[in-house]
Amino acid sequence: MIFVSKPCKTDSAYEVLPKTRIRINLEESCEKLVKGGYEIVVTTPHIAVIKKIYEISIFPSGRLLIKDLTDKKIAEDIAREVYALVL
Amino acid sequence: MKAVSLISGGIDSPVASYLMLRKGIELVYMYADNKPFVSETPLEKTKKLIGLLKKFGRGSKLYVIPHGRTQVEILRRCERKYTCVICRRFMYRCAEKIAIKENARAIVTGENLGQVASQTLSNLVVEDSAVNIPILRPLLALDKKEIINKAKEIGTYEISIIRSMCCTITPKFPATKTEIRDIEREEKRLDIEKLVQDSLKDASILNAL
Repeated sequence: MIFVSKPCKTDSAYEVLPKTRIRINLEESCEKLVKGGYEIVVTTPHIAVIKKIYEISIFPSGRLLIKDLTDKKIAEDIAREVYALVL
Repeated sequence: MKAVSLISGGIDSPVASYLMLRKGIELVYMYADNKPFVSETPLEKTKKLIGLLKKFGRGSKLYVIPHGRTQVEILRRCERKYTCVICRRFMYRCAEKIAIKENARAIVTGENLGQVASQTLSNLVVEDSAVNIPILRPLLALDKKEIINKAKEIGTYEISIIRSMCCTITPKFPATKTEIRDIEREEKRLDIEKLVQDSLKDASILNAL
């Protein structure tokens, strides 16, 4: 899975964007994320919020917003783990 | 005269509050807490801003309304493009209930015409119709630069620009010209009274700022 990562425009989260067009069914992905050790904070058809160490917003487009994180390497490790679970 | 001021950690609402305080209006503040769709930081900023605004007039009571559950219901049940307008209508409904409780006569917001999707004239008219109390918008026709200059002048700017996550559930293509019939149709899928009552029941009231 190829993606780009950057601090979000407010510099208070890290944003990860897939480079290819993907579609994630958030409600169906929850079970896989739980098996991967994530707590589901909330899920809707348009956004899911999950948590392990950091709280992460996941969008159907595959966009991830990792809250309160500024470290690119950690963000990319988290993204690889999440994408491996849901794709 | 008292009013309920909708305040966030941003630049505009503290300036709107300041302008009302300067006119002698006593303010009760309401913060709509969007967790888990934002981080903790905006609330902390809001508390600091109210602390600073105290020097300009009367009012330090802050109602923190949990708004995340309402957002979840809106996201699950309503057409995506209407999220922002319906969200604001819910905030006004909560503010109206607080106004009744606090014997306040109006709601104050930092809305500014055309600044974001929920703040077009069409959308503001539709948002107003959710409540029976006047909504005062002292910044309505100002330019952003004028608002920023005022924020710098009164000292709120430096707090407002502390980094914090903005709302993560804004739709990619929000409706900018809503019609009341469309919004009322969408809101029929929600238990409006229960959502408002639950938010108020679980609100925290902070006084010592």
